[in-house]
Parts: sequence; structure tokens; C-alpha cells
Amino acid sequence: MISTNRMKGLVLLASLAIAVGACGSSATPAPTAAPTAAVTAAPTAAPTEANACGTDPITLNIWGGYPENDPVWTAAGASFKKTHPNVDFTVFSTDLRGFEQKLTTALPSNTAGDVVIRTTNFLARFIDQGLLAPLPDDLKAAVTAGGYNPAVVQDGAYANNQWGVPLFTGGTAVYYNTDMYTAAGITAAPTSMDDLIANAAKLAVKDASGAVTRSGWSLRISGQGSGVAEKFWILLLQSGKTLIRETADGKWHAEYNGPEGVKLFQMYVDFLKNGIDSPNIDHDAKAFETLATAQFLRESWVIPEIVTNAPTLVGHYSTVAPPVADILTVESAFVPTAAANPACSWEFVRFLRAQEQQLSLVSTSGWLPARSDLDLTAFLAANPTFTGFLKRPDGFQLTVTPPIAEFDEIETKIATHLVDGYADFANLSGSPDKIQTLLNTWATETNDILKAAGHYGE
Amino acid sequence: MTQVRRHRRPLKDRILYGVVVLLLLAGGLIMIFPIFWLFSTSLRLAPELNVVPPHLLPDHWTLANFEKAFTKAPLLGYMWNSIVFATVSTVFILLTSTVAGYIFAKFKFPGNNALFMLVLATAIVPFEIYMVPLFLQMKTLGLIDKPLGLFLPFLVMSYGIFFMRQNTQTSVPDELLDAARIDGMGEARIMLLMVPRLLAPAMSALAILAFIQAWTAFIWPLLILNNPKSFPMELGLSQFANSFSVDFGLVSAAAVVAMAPTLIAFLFLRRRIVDGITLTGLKG
Amino acid sequence: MRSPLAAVRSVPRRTWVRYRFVALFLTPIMALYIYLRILPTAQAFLMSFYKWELIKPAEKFLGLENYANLLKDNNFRQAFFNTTVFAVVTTIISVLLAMVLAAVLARYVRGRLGGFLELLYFAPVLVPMVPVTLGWREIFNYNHGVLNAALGVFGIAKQPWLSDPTMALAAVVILSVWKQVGYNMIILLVGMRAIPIIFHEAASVDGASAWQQFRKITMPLLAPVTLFVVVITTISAYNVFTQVYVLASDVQGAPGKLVRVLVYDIFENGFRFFKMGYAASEAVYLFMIIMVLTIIQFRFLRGSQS
Repeated sequence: MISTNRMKGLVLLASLAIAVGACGSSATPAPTAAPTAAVTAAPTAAPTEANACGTDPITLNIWGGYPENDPVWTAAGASFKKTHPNVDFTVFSTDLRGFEQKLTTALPSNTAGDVVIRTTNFLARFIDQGLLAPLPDDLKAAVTAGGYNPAVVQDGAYANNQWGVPLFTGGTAVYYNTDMYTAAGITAAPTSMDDLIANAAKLAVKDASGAVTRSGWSLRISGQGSGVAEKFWILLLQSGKTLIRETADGKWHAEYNGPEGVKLFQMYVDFLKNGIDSPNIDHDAKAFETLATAQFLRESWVIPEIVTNAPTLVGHYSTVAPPVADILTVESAFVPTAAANPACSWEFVRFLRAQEQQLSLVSTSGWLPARSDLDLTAFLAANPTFTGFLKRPDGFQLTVTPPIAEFDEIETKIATHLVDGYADFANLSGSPDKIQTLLNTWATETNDILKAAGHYGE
Repeated sequence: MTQVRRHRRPLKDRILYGVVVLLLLAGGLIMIFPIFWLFSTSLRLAPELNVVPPHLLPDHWTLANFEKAFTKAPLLGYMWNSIVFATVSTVFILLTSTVAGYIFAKFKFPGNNALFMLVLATAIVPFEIYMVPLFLQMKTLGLIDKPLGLFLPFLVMSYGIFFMRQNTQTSVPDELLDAARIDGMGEARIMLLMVPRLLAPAMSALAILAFIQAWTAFIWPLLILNNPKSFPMELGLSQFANSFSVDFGLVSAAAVVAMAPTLIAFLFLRRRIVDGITLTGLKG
Repeated sequence: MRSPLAAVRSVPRRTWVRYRFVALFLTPIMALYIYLRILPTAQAFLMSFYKWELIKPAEKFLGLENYANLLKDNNFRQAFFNTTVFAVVTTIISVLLAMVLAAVLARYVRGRLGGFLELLYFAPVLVPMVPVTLGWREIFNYNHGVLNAALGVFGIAKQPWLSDPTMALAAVVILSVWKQVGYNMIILLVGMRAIPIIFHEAASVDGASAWQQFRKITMPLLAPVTLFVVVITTISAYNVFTQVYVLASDVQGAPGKLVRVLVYDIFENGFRFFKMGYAASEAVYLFMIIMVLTIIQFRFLRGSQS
């Protein structure tokens, strides 16, 4: 009897031991990522070297944060394979939150993809640690040779070098419903903040009980992350001010608590108080698609979304550039220093710069091509709703994200305050003093964060 | 027993029974409404999604969302990956939880309480906190982007150990164990042959929970897997749900596909719970 | 007085056999457990005393500075308050509701009908959180949401479920109770059904009413399982994250006021602001809160059991 017990015990123990042992044993023969190869990542590849990918089978893993772009990278991979038959592709993407989380764990442990697509600003801290390779000379020349808007090049500059090849940008435009405009007797596109504000008042609709059923301008008043502050920032830029201002000696301080910021915040709370917008109705793209707003500001991805979600709206709306300025976010392609085949990774990035690939982006997902030297005439003629994004007025200013690591924290915290502030609209509307006090409190916090990072300057 | 008594019971009790059943049914309908809503949404196209007031059923029924979902993503592949992952995880969690739970409940040994408190304490820590060190450990073992790297953290379950310990306390009488010992049964035989019969309902419940936990796992697969071919369902689903251009009809269709296997699995396992109860009923 | 050695010698052989059994079976499981749970958790706790970024580990030893700074952090305080309110309300409602459901389904409504009802109430547990929360977001919608439409039938005015801070918290509670109650019910049901029916029969013969049977038989015998349910509901409620995140999700700008909860704040500090050490100390606070609550619950239920 005892021996049977022992047998059973041993069997169970053995099965567990196998399970545990399996983890240990498979560890030795299977190093996933190639050893850190800062040396090989040096720009050795010649510009048009056809065999940068050699002849051995290679799989390139392309990582991006916008799933709607997956078809673009997959299609590009398929056409790249025509000239490089030994190269296969896998495309990894997830929402931005998940993607940033994954990059944060994968890059330091040398397990990230072969090509990583994200903003220079987000990746700056990884560049600091030598985890991303600098651009090969030919690509660096191509990026700085004038084929891109200077702001795009400025956005990509970090630590006196260029690190990624800009692929697409996220510009903003005003979307407005032309039917509603006509019905309200407005004939011209809104080209100034005064236009936008005056039109909003005419376009809002209330029901018999006084509840807002359609906003005149769908403002960004809630949500998480930094989005709320970003929209506030874009509108603030129209008055020539910004969230944090750079001083002559490269330091920063809060600027949104000046008179322009107070005025803008006042506009938000007045809109809510006067029923031009309301916290209780849909906002953003969804509101626009369901005719719950007449105008709002957003990136270009809304255009293909309208085709899917609200096909009846197509042809009944237009876009126009914001009055005088916009922020610019640039998503670029980077190659980690630990990438197994850096020459081949860069070769694919070169391939992604081609006009054909850049146009495939905008026509597939609606994101804007980063290159400014492309011929977009035919595209614009076929897709006039992109006008607001591709035709900017003369002297239009593009502001890039401040190249300091703590900016996202600053922006996210401002966003949190703004959401709370907007919710308190009944109390704050019509009280510029209270608003000024509030903005000053937030600005103190912003400046404290800058001070802690050693970036504060008057 | 209840049946027999109901016949004897007066009209008043039968009315009460009817009222209770009606209340339960009404509550049950509320419970499945959000799921019904996903089904209903998955059968309509985008322009119909924002009608005021909402229509319970689609005006125009369509399977277009499902067609699109299956062409846009390898949903069947994701499903297979999830089935393998969830099955392996469930089998191991059942084994580890039952053995550990039973030992914690029924054996006095030095450090019993301390070890159990350690398990309980660890159950409290959110995964977000220790996942980074865990990821680095998996990296040291060379398990990034490997099935084993995905499985390993899902072989033990703090709640599972806790759950089986509590159930052993309720469902495994000491007298029965002592009787078996007096009969000459060894400890291993008691644990592996006799105890699982007594714990069958709890083990079925734990199996369901473990299966669902693996089925809906998101953050860990996200970190450890790089190749979309090996994605489990929830991670694959996120590419739909979290895409910037949310097409809710399409998301609903994918969600319906994603939850179908768990619903079906539950139907099967529910029978096992019922069987388990009959079994313990006989013992009692 | 006997010497310790004598005490060890006096341990019967039978006990040594059992120790050996425990060692044989528990050791491999605990080894796995320690490697997969305790080691990484200990590492995370270590981080909480440092200025620690993932790419700059152990940059600077701070002692308790992270902990002190957190107490002054408004986001943390708000998150702590919201999470506590959420956890207390969700736990009370979902456990009481589950207890009632389980009691009725265990003895009163049985057979096929009982099985069907069980399935209805358990179904929410089976669906993945993200899509179902998106579904709920539509249901909560102010204008075209089903919930406000349903309230309208009873003459109740439309409620700003997602945009008003208090209502948004209520919405998260409703969603979470909906998701949790079936899980609690099934576990209590398993526990109740494991109570040998003979106890109830004996009590019936003695003339005890259904309520007396529940009070005197079911409740005491069910105490360990109830404790399990209360503890893990509290724990999972304190770890609430996905619902909150998706309900206030940026993407479509649906009017969702973010209910800041602890795990969200931890996530934001750790993965958005890269302050791993700071986030870890926040997690330690979270850990201590739940630990204390768990111990209280253990004491309380142990007390009521005896």
C-alpha cells in the first residue's frame, strides 16, 4: 500500500518537475533576441545596396501603435518581398496605451521589433540609453535635404542627431457640416477664431426644455490622458500663445495662465453655460457622424471613418485648416540597436519613404504622409475633404512637442485639471478672477515639474 | 424533497414561489441584456447604431460584420491559440490549487499559516506592478515570444489555492479522512482519489474561472508575444476594439465570436457541476 | 519541563509521515509559486524605495520619499477616495445580491428552471471586459442610451451617467456589480450545495423555518466560502481598472468623466510618466489597504462563525 502511495507521489512530482524543468532547459538553446549589437547598427549600409537583406531567410517584425495602419505595412511588406524574396514580415500593433507599455518593457530588454514606429519625443528616453540606432548617413541626408517640412525635421531632432524616418503626421483641421451651415445662413468657411465662435452660437440647437440636442462646436471637455489639454493647446496657439514657452537659453515655463489662456478657458465654460455645447451630449467624431454637432477639430483619420460609419454624411461636410497654427506630431520609423538585421530593417524603411507607400497611408487609413515634396494634386482632386489638412494658409505655424521627457506628464496633468475645471462651468463662467486663480495654481504645478527636471527658466 | 413538499403546500406558498421565479427571470433578463445588445449590434450596420430611441432589434439584419471580422483578422487562429492556452492553464491550475489548497486546509505543519498568508498577500498585488520583473525573469529564461513564456505565469493561481482551501474546509470532513486513514489508505491516495470526489463541484467552478482568466488575459500576452500568429483571442480582439476608427458593429461581431466558446464551454461544464453535486449528495 | 529535543522526539511517527507528504507535494508547487509570484512582487516592492525608471533601474535610493510625496499628491488622494467608495459599495451590493440569489437557487428554485436562471446570472462573467464595457458605454449614453430610454418609461428624467462625476462612479459600480455578481453567486452556490442535505432535513423535522435554517445551518457552515467571496470581491474591486479606462476612453470622445482609481493612477505614473518607483510605492499603499481589510474580514467572519 505504502509503495503505491509513493509511486503516485513520485509520478505527480515528476510531472511537475518536467514542467518546471522544461522552462529551464529551453532557456539555454533559445536566446530570443540577438545580442546587443551597437556596432553592427552603425550606418554601414550603402544607399541603394540591393542585397542589404542578404539571401538568408529573414523575418522583419514591424511594430506600430495604430492598428488601422496594419494593412499599409502588410501591403508594403508584400511589395518589398518582390525584390527581396528571402524577407518575410510580421506586423504587430495594438492601441497606443498597450503599445507604449510594450515598448517600455521590450526596448530595454532588447526584445523589440525590427522596425518600431512611434514619435521621437516618446522614444527620446530610449535614445538616451542607446537603445535606438542613429539614422544611416544616406537616410539622414534624405530627411534633412528639404523633402520634409522644417517643423518635421525639428521634431525629429534629438541629441544633435536624427534618429527616425518620418512616416506620417497627425495634423488637425476644422470639420464643419455644410448642410447645417447653409441652414443657419452661413456661407463662408470659418477662417478665424471669431468665425468659429460666432458660428457655434448660431449652430447650437436646444429642445423645448432648453436641453442642448446639437452643439454648435463640439469642444473636447472630457476623457483621459493628455487629449483634453492637447485640444486646448491647439486653440491657444491661434492666439499666438502656447502651453509652455521656451526661453532664449533653452529652458521652459508655463504660458497658458496668461490673459489669452484665461480668455480661452472662459470661452469653454461660457459655451457650456450658454448651451452652445453640453457635457450631456455626444462629442467628437461620434457627435459629428450622428449630426449631434455642427463643427469640431480633429485629425484626418475621421475622414475614412465617416465613409464607414456615416456614409450619408459624405459630401455634406468640409474641412478647413485651423486659423493660424497647429501642433505637429510625427510618427517615424526607428530601428532598435538590438535589431537582428539592422541593414535590412533600414532598407525596408527606405522603401517606406517612396511616394507610392506614402500615398497608400493616406488613402488607407487617412493619416497624412510626412513628406512635403509629394505630388498630391491627383489625390486632392479625388478626395477634396482632405483640403483642410493638405492646404494650409500662408504663414501657417506648426508647433512641435517640446523635446523634454516630462512634457507628457505636464500635459496629462493639465488635462486632468481642465476636465475638472470644465465640469465646474456653472461656477466659473463669468468669473475671470476665479479662472485666473485656477490657472495660476496649475501653472505652479507645471513649473514645479519643470524645476524638478532642471528645465525651468523665467 | 422540495417537489414533494410543494404539492402539499397551500396556495399562498405557490403564489410566493411564482412571484420569486418571476422576479428572478426579470433580473436574469436584465443580466443578459448587455450581451443581447452586443449580439443585436453585431447584426446591424454602422448607420443604424445611433438611432434615437434605440431599436431593440436591427431594422436590416446582416451578417456583413461577421464576414468582415473573419476576413480582417484570423479569428479562428486566435481562437485555437486561446483554446490551447486556456486548457493548459486550467489543467495546471486545477492540479496546483487542489493539492496546495487541500494541504493548507488539512495539515498542521510549521509555517502553514505563514505560507498561506504569503499566498493570500500576493493575490492582492495588482498584476501591473509585478509584471515588469516577471517579464525580465522570462527574458532571462529566453522565453519571450515563446508559448512556454505565455503559459508559465498561468500555471498557478493565488485565488485558486485560497478557493480550494476554503472549500476543503467546508466539504471535506475530518472524520472521513480519519476513517480512510484507519482503513489503511495512504495520504497520497486520499488526496488524489478521495478528495477530488468531494471537491468536484468546487473544482468545476475553479476550472471555469481558470479557463475564463486565461481566455480573457490581455496584458501578459501583449507583453510576451510579438508574432500575431500566436495571439490569443483577447489580444487579437483588441486590434479591433482599440483601433482608432472604432466600428462598433464590427467590434461587436468579433466580441460575439470571442465569447461564444466560453459560453459553450460553460454549458458543458455546468452539467459537470450538477453531476458533482449529485456525487457529493450521495456521500452526504 | 521537557527539553525541546524531547518535544521533537515525542512527535509521533504518524506526524512525520504527514510532514514528508506535505514536503513532497507542496514544495514543487510553492517553488513555482515563489518564482512566478513572490520573487517579482518582492522586486517591485524594492523599487518603491528608489527613483527607478525601467531604463534607469535603481537610479537613486530615496527611502520613504516616494511614500511621503504620494500623501501630498492630489491625484493619489482622489484615486484613493474613489477606489474606496467604489470597492465598499460594489462589495456590499454584489455579495448581498449573490447571497440572496444563491440561497434561492440552492434550495428553493431548482431543476431545469434553476439551471436556466443560474446560466442567465452567470453569463456576464463569461464575456470579455473590453467589448462589453464598450457595449455598456452605449447603454449609458445620455441621448440614445437604452438605460435612459428605460428610465423614461417610468417617468424618470435622463441621467448624465458618464459625464457627472458622481453618476460616473455609480455607472462603474453598476457595470462592476453586473460583472461580479454571477461569479459570487456560483461560488456561494457551490458552497451551499456542499452542505449535506441531511442537516436541513433534520432541521425541518424539528420544525425550523427556512429563515432559521439559513441563519443556523447555512450561514455558519458557509462562513469560509463567504469569507472567500468577500475577500476576493474586495481585492478585485480595489484593482478596478479596465471598466474605468474604457468608459472614459479617449477614442470617440464619448462624454466620459474619468473616475480616477488607484490602478489607473499607478499605470499612469509607471508607464506614462515612467516613474516606476513612485508607482511601486503607490502599489504598496494599495497592498497595505487591502491587507488590512482582509485581516479585518478574517477576524470578523471567524468571530461570527464561533
